[in-house]
Amino acid sequence: MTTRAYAVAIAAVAAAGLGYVLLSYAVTDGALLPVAARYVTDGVRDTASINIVSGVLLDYRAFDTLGEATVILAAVAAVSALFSGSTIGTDSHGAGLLVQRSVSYLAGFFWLFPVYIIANGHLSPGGGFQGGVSLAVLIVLLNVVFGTRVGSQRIGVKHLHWAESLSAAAFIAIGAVGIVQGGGFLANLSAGFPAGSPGSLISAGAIPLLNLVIGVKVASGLASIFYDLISGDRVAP
Amino acid sequence: MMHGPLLLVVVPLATAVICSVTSMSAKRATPVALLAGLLTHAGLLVAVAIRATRAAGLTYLVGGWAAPVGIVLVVDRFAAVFLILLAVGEVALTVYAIGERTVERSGFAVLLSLLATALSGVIVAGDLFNLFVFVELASVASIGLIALKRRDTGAASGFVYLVYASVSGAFFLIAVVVLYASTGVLTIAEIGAAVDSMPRATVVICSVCFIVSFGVKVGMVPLHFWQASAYDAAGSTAAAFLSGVAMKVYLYAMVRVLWSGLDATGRVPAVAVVLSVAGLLNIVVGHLLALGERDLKRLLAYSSVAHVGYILLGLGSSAGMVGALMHIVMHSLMKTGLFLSCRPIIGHAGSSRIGRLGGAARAQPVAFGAFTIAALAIVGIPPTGGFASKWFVSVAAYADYGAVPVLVVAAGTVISLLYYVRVSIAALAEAVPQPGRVSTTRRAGATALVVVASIAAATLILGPVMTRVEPTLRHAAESVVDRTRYIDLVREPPR
Repeated sequence: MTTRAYAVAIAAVAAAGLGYVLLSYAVTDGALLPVAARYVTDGVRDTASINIVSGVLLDYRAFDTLGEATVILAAVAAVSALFSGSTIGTDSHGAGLLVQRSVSYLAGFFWLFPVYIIANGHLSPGGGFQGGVSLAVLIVLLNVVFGTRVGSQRIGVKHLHWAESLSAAAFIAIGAVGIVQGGGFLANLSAGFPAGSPGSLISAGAIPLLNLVIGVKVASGLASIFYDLISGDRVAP
Repeated sequence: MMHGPLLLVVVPLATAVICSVTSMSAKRATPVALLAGLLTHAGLLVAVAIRATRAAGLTYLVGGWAAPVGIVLVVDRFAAVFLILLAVGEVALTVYAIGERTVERSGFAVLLSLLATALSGVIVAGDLFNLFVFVELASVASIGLIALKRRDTGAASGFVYLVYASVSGAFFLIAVVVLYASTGVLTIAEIGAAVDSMPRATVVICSVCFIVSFGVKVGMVPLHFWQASAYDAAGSTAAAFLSGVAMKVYLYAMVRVLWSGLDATGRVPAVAVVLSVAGLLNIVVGHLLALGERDLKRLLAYSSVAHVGYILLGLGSSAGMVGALMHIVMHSLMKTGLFLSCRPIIGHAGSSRIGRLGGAARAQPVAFGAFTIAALAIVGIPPTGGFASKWFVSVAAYADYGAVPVLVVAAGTVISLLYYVRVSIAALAEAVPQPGRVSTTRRAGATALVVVASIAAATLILGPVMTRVEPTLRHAAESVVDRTRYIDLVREPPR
């Protein structure tokens, strides 16, 4: 792609974004709709999460999030069924020595970012989905830089499948706590999860737990799709 | 039982997780886990359906948040009918798949449980966005089931469906955005309560979006092109579930949003006309495509296109909801029966080409008998249930649109008789030795034949019994036609 093509693409994305913002103001007059207003005024009291988006996604509407996470589970199951029986090619040797050395020094810092994003999901923008995707990218990076043989030995497909299944089970289990405690499935503070003091790292009840579970699930799901896609070309064109 | 509506979603989801663990560590335990999980689920489906029918509805607040703020799950009498359909289809399919060892295909158990999760979620969803999430989950799980049998053609058909499903999802999302922007809520019942003060144009736009979105999913002409190749690639077992149950659940969702949410036919009478005309188009195009088809599974797929037409015709007629529901029930049984019974026949012939079915009737008498009974029912020969449902649809359509739809229904019946007779003659013929033929000596297992025979028996029995079932279906239809009942159920749940 030429520089000009990049410029056009960036301009198009920016224009679309601007158009979307203007359009959303046009249809809502910029004022908050009743339910949204409730989330903004009572969100911190109801969910103890100072990130209202996390409060909506993982408390008020946590059931939707369970569904979205399950969509990833279904996609992984579909892709791995399609590629079942094929093995990961070990012919990739990764990048040159210079890149490998520098990445191995930087890897520790690379892990810090997704961990921060997931751990602070209830405090600042981010959360399980965003942090999980960053984690999956790190696994991809590991394979690109050090070669698929080293990569798939360190973090294998089998580990990823286990991590995904167990995190899905953990999501259901956290939801079931609400049933046992009497607040209803996926209830948060009303099921007795400790609210803590809003704004501190240990607060918002089950929301950080759910962020952690979703982070593991998204990371393992996307990474195992990556492994399926790089494994043998068994699908005929 | 207090958590009934919720458990309908959580139990098959847990089953999927367990199956995904067993398929890694203990492959032999997968069929056991699948059977146990889905039988439990089917039991819950029936229990919740009975309870909802008796109590005129059940609701569940997820996370304890009341309706507009949180997500509500709703089961009214209309939803209860579809819960029963799902339970029957699920049990038949699971037992059949375990008997025929389809369940050992990698990923089948997980994807089937996830599809059951999604379809339960669609039926109990009382929230528009929650409905969207479960419809998307159903699409992804269906794509997996379509693709996993044969890697080459399956992947291609799965990809075609993926493209169609994305377009469908986009239309759904547009309607959700418009409705949320104009009402500020996502609960279907609250949208239904606010719809009277909504501009007519908004109702029109959202109705069109929903009709196109679900039109893709149910195969409304001309959005049906994915269907034949998908059902052909999917294998008869998965196709039986996709056509017999999943398609009906999409119809349910369409009716739920158009009737309970938008009051579409009340606010915009043209919507009813559009549904009826689409129905007639589906009947004509579907039957003609089936008549010209040389492949048995694709023929059955086109027959599905035609039969969605009868259901849409019923939905488009002012008194047709009962007829539409009856045809939904009957077609679910008949199509499941046809797809499941054609598998042993195709397996014997080694090909799904109709011209090569010779000798199959003699080799697989039970499967062929069941196929014939289901075919007679779907054509609409009087003692069977298929006749009763077509009759109710025709009567309702005659009241609104005169003789034309009735003539189309009659013509469709004649055409479908022609092509099913053609299949039967081909199967009854002596086997012609063919040089390149792959002869499979594998016989259908006893379990599969029992399933097929019971479905055939049910299609026969439901004909005479239809008068007994009719009042229940009429109550179910009333609970969706009379919108206030649904809105009141969510706003003031019975204690």
